[in-house]
Amino acid sequence: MRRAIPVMIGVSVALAGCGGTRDQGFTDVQKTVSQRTTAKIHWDQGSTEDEQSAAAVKQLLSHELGVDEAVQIALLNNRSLQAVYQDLGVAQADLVRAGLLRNPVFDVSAKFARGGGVRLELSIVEDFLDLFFIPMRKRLAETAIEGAKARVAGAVIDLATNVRVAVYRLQTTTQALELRRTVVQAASAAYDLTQRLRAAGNITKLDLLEQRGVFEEAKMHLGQAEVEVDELREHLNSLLGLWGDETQWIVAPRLPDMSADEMPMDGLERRAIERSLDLAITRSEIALHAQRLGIARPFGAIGNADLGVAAEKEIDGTWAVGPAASVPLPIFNFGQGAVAEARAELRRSQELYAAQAIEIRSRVRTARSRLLANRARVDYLQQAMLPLRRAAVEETQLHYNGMLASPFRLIQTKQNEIAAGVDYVEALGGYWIALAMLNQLLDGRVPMDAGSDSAATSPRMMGGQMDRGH
Amino acid sequence: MAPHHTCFARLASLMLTGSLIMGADEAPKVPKVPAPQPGAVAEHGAAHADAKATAKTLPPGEPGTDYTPVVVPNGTTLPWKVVDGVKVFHLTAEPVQHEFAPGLVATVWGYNGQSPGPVLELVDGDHIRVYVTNRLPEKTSVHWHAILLPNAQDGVSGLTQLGIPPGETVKYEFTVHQQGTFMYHPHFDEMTQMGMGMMGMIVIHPRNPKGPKVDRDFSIMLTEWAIKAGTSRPDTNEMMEFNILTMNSKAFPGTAPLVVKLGERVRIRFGNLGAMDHHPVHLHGYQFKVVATDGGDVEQAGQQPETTVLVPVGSTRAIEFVADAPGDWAMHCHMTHHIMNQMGHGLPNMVGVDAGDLDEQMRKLLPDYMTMGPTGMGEMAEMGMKIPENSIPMVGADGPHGYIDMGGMFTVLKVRDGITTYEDPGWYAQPKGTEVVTASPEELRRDGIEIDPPPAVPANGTPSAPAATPGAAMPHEHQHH
Repeated sequence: MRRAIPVMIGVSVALAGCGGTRDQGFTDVQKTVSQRTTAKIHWDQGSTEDEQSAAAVKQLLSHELGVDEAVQIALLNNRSLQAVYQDLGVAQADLVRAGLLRNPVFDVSAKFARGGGVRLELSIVEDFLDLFFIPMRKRLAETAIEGAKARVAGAVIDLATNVRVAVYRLQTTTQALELRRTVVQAASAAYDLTQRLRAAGNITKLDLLEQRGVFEEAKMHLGQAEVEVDELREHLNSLLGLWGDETQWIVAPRLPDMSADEMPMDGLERRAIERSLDLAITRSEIALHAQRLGIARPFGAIGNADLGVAAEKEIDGTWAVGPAASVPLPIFNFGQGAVAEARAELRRSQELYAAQAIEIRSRVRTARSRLLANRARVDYLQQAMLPLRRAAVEETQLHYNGMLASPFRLIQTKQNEIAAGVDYVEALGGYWIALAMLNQLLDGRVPMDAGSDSAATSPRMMGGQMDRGH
Repeated sequence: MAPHHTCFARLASLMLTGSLIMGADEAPKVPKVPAPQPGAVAEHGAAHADAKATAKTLPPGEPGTDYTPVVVPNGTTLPWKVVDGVKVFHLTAEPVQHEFAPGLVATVWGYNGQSPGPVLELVDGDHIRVYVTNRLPEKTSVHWHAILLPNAQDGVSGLTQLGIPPGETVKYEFTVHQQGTFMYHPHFDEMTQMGMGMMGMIVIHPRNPKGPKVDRDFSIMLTEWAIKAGTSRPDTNEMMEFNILTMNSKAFPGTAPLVVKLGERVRIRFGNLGAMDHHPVHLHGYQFKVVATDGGDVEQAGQQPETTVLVPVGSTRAIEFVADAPGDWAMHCHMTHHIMNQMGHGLPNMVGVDAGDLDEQMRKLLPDYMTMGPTGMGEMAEMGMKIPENSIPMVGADGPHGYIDMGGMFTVLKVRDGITTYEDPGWYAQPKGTEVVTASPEELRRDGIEIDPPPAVPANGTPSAPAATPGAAMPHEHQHH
């Protein structure tokens, strides 16, 4: 990880001027992301900076990957994330569309009289209410853009978290695999000893077969662990958007040690609420619904009101020109349905907002207690279990020296020590994953559910459903 | 031995007299007793004790005048005082920190700070009073094993007396009317208390010894313990696997040697209060006679010559011989497991195993690993490998000719000419020309000894299977055409 720091700096320098791309709100997303992670994001839009981004990825891949490097690669190289960026383009297009006046309607009708002569009726009408709607529509579209930006930033945070979790899983499994190899080594030594005992005529064939069973079983478990490592690598390849020769990366083989102190609980909930991108999305929805309610109140009954010019050419060729208007009369439907719907939608989104905030607070507390539990487990294993197992090996060695313990017991004790080592590695991995989950919350995103790693573009929790258009 | 015979005859006639008196249903006619008799003696009224009652209670026997005191290797005799013609003793049953051999200390139970308890040394006809204080966490009692005494004094908790509660002191009092080697031990929770080491020897000298004078009279209690290596308390739940075998609660190299001047007459008294094992004690360099059991002296005609005396559980044996051969003579239980210390059971049999690169493999995991015992275990102890603390799994001792790889019930009878004290004289210097040395080629040639070339696989001691090669010469038919 240390070695990669200059590379990371290189990445930030190379992508420092990324704001120059067609913006569409991406700068705001970058700002949001930069408040949450040191990794840079870049939207491939056919600029020269795309090449810099690709070069940065290549450079990062040439070094041992730690969590930070992997996150940086994913943020630059994950194609799903690039696809999510297009949401900004879509929202921006909506805004453009919202600012345009509805096209006027030109109406022409001709009537042919018996015995010759044509009566022409021409009218050109414009939905004059549209003039009032444009600013409203624009406000709606602008609000929708805010939501889209929060969603995109959320996708970045999700991806970063998923990459972190995947790297920690891979490191955990790799490190545990190394330990499992020593278990096989121990089983192999024990089997070797039984073979020698058998060759000397000192044990039965049955004893030999039983010890071989232990050995073969250990080998089989090792095979399973190796497959697991391969699968976790593939998962990372997918998250990092890597294929072909790019998949030959090396992961830092050891999990980092725990930090000495745990982040204090004070203010964690508030921080998660304040920085919540999920809540930002819901807030934009509330704003949308409020705006819709504002529109529905005066215009609920009057969907459109046309105003224009009508001309009529009589058969005799004379023209009559005059204004034309058509307005729905609010007699039966005076807009009560539309208002009620808009109000219900607003209320719903407000309730969901509160529910979401409550859930975020709960998730923060859960994530923190899970983090503390993991820390306690790591500490316990490190301070109690591992020294205990190590001391047992040393003591068994003494017993072995005194011919008070068999070599098999000595090997078994060693295997117990290794098993405690595996427990430790897994607990340490669990700690880092728990920390990543908590940080995801603090960075404004509710994890899909603890432990499952979803694709970056998966839909969010209930409050954050996509805007259903307008 | 005529004197013994006479003694027996007298005893028999006394007993006969006693039963005649009983048969006549008369009050026992107690002969005039010089010493004042406390109440306990007055209770002599029932069973065989009547016969004893007719024997005299004599003034307290004094060492030097009435007897030559016993020598207790690694132990002591119990001090006493005379109060109104009665020998008064005090035994305190209590926990004791005991060293079995250098490297193994355990909390055991004993008497007066030691295990076995000090030897109770008496003379036939002594009237004794023994106070017993219980400093154990549970009740106890003292049974005077093979002593003929009034029933109430027999020390069987529940049967003849109340157990002595912790903190209390009781008094045993009786006159001894026999001579020989006996023992004392609790008769309450025997498995625990004897397993913890509570036992002691009783030596009763004859008032007027007959026969040749014994110069060196040794007293050795044999017993066995279950002390798991690395622990410091005997496991009294153990019934079979005893791993510390002791003489006077010491395991070799903790056992003190028996030092004797050349030509002295030696008696060795053995008692066995172990839980399960009889001990055939073998003495090197001598023939001896078993002269007594705890049932009394063996008549001379019945004294079979031996080199090994079997000391059964709950018995004593006394052997005698004249130490006429100088040297360091081993004396040990001949059960080979009884001359081992805490070495483990249930280990794989490594004899003959070709270790190959096994150690290399193992050291990747266990840097201190070394294959043990592929050529036998004789030299294991010498290697001085680190072992669990407070354990003596393979401990032996340096001897004058390398390492003595024995433990347990092993000691040395040191017979020397020209010594003036019985201090340990050190190792015996073999007279020049008597030592065992490598045979010279000249000697081999002279005596026609032909040595075959060593077998192909000497490392693991497995001969290259002669049976597998039909037609091969049998080992004893070596080809010298």
